[in-house]
Amino acid sequence: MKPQVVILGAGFAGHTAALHLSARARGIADIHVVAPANRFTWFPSLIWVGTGTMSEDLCRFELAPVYERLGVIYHNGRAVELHPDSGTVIVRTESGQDAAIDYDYCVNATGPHLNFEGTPGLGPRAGTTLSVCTIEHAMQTRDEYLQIVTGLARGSRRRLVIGIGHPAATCEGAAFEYLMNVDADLRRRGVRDRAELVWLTNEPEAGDFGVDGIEARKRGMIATGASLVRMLLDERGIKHVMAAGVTKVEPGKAFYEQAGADPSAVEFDFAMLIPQFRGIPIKYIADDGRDISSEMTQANGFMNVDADYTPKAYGQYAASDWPAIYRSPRYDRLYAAGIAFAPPHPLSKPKKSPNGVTIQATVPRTGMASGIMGKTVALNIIDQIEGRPPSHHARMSEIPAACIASMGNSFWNGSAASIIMMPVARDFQRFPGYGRDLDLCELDVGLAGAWTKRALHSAFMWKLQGHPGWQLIPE
Amino acid sequence: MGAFWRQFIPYQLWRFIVINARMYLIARGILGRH
Repeated sequence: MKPQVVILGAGFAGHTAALHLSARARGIADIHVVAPANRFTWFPSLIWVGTGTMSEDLCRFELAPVYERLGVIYHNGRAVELHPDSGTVIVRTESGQDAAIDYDYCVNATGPHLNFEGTPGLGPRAGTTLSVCTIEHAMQTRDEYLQIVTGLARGSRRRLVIGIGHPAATCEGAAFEYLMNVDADLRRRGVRDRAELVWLTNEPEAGDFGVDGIEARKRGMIATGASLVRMLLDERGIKHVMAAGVTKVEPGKAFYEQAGADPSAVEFDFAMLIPQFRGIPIKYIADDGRDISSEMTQANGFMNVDADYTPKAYGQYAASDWPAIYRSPRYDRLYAAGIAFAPPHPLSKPKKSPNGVTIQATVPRTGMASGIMGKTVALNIIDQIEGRPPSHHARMSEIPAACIASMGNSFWNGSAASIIMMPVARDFQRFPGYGRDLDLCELDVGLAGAWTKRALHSAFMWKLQGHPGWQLIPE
Repeated sequence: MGAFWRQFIPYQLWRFIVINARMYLIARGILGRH
């Protein structure tokens, strides 16, 4: 019998791993994917769904036909228990029935649990704030946003608060994109002057984006993300509250703690606040029936891999802290990739409010980084199947990330910030000074970014459906 | 960079080529691997 490779999750990491395994290991292994809802979502474009400038149908495709074509066995359900000693995963189907799948190799690529409950009163379920983290959330946000637009068109004044809903949340880039797209859309509709936009973020300073800021060398000078983002906010008349951790939300009001300031609150008519991410709650059960979840994961629920989890202060963070092969230190046939692996620490500088609340943007794992991890894990599993030790590595401190932050989705009038970081996590030994290769880093704003963002959407929807030539498009 | 250059199509076409080429070469590992 061929080795069974089971991938939990079909996001950027899991689906990329499935694509590469189907192309390179179909003859030597059976590849299974366990994911709920039978769909892949292209998350980077949900900010456009949330402003009504893109249909949700353009951001998703059905997984089952793709996997059938690629020879991958698809299980519609979600993993609820992992028995790593015996190599079994318990999958709960949509009808609530549990089924066991045995594996020889397993990849945990389950993505984030949106921890709205981490901030009292936050989220669409509480009916207070909105999100663009899922298609359904983005559609709800669009509907509420369009109601706000109707009110503005009738002459009302409205305050829209957009940003981050927890002191230790991530994904500031997506929230910033949504903010900029709302600004662009309101201008296009001629109602921007009646809307007050507020950027509420846990970043220590503008342009941090959870990666400790961005720099690039341009014509011999150093351009920074901080100066760029401040310029964009000022140009557009957007108010900002930095280093602020939202601690509670009530209808129409968000309470926050801020570094160097007393606790405060901001009232809103519309709020899109990204929640904290935690690991998907999977139970890890040992052979003797003991629940070993706390030994397999960090406190945030993300799975331990080959990282150095020794607590360190900012300034002592090292490039070698980051995992190389994304394998469990305890089980050599269990991997975690994408958002599911536990980062050793954040990248951003921590701040504290006078009340002692730590405000620290956590590490984003963007589509590009997650895709690279998914491919790396796939190649390492092939190594193991063929009797070699894992030979592929992709530390966050050695991989690049490209991020195109949209500021308006239009072919003629759109704009976007094009950002390239190399590497994501600073490596001061390899790159003294800034910890990154500033000649490769990019920081640019303009229409070219808008075209790039749209081109990447089309190219990756092609690639991820496994259409001819998909391997020519790199992660 | 001024607002004019951010929307000036010939310059933005050039930037589109440069940014995408750089992204492709970095993602392929042709640039940036030491």
